[in-house]
Amino acid sequence: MATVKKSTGKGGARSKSSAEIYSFWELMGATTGPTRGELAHRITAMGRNGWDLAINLASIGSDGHWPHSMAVFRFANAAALEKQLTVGFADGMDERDLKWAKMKLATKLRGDLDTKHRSWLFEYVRFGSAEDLAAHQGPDLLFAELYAPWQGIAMWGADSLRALMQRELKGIGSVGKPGVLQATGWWTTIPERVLV
Amino acid sequence: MASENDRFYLWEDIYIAPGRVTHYLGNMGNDWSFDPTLRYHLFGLFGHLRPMGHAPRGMNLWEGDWKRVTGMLTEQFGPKAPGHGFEAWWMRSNVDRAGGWDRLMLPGPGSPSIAEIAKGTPRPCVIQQIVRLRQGARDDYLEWFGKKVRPAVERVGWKPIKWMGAIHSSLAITLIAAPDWSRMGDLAAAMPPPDPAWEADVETHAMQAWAGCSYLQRPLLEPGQSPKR
Repeated sequence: MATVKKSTGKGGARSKSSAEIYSFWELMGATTGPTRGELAHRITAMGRNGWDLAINLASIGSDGHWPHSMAVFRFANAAALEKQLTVGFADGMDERDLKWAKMKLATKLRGDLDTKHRSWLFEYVRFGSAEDLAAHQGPDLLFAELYAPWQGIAMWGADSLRALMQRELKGIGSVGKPGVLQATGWWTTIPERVLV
Repeated sequence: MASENDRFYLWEDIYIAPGRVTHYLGNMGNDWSFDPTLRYHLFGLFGHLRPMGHAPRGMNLWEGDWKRVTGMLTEQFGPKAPGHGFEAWWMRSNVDRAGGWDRLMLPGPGSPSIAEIAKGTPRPCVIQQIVRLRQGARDDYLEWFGKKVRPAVERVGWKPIKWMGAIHSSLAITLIAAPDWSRMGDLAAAMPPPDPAWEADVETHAMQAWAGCSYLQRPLLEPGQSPKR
C-alpha cells in the first residue's frame, strides 16, 4: 500500500557525502498490463531489496501519463547509494510489461515531506544556474539534480485533491516564476484504495 | 578538411524489453555480422541502473570511421543480405529489444580513442550525460568539457572516456567512468557548471558496462573479436 515516511531532514549540499540523496522514479504501466495498483505494489516491494521508500504516488492522468506512478526513494548518504549501484542489474525490480521508466538522483535543497499531505503538484524545473534554482520561492519541497544542479524537482503539497485545487486557484506552480527556463508539472496523489 | 577515414561514432540508445538487460548485453556481444574488411570497434555495451536513468535501457557505442560505417550500412540496407549472420542475430535479438534511438557523432576536441582508454584502469562504472544545447553552442560545450570538466573530475578519481557531438542536432553526449561507485558524491561536487548561455538541458544516467566490453579488456579486443566466455 501507499505509504509516506517522515524525512529526517538531513538533505543538503551535493558536495557532502553525508547528505541524503533521493531517487525519483516514474513508472509507466498499461491498462493491459501493470495498472496503478500493481505499480504501487511493485514500488513498495522494493523495500525488500533494501530501498527506503519515502513516498509512493499515483499520477493524475487527466494532466499527465496514465496509468503512471511516481516513487521517491531515499539514500541516507553516498555510501548507501554506492551500495545500491554496486548491486547492478539484479536489483529485484519487477519490470514485467512496464512501458517505460525514468529515474533521477537529487539532493534536497529545502522542505520536508509532510505526512498530512496526500496530494502533490510534482514538477521538473530547469533554471540557468544552481543559484537561481536555490532561490526559487514557493514549493514545499525543492530538490537539485545531483549532476545538473541547475535542474530540479519542485513539490507543492496539500491535504487532499480539493485542497490542492484550492492552492492552484490561489496560484502555485513554477511556470512563469522568476528565473524558470522550463517547468513541466502534473498532479499526483496517494490513493486511498488500490486503483485499476 | 574532413576525411572518410576520420574517427566517427555510432551511439545507440536501446529500448530493451522488460527483464532482458543481461540477455541483451550478452547476445549483442562483440560479434561482427558484416564483411570482415569493414570491422570496427564496438567500444562498449552498457545497461542503465535503477537509481538514475531509464529502465530497462541499454547503450551501445561503436568506434569506426565514415568509410567503414557507411559500408556496414550499405550492407544492412542494400539489395543483398550481408550473409555474415546478421539476419540470424537480428531475429535472435528481437525478444531482447523493441527499438531504439541512435545518433551519428563526432568526437570532441581531445576525446580519447578506445585504444587510448584501454591503456588505463578498467572503468565499468559510467555516468552518461545527454546534453541538449542552444543552437550553435555544441562545439563550445565540447571544447569546455575537454578543458574544464576533464581535469576537474580526474582530480577526484573519475575519467572522462568520451565527449562527442551529434552531427545532426545541437546535442552532446559525455561519458565519465570510474573503477567503482565509491566516489559518486565527489564527482557531483567536482563537476563545474556549464555556461548558462548554452542553456544546457541535461539527462543523467548511471550505467554499468557489460563485463565483456571491448574497452574493459586487457589487451584490447580487436574489432569483431569476442571475449573468452
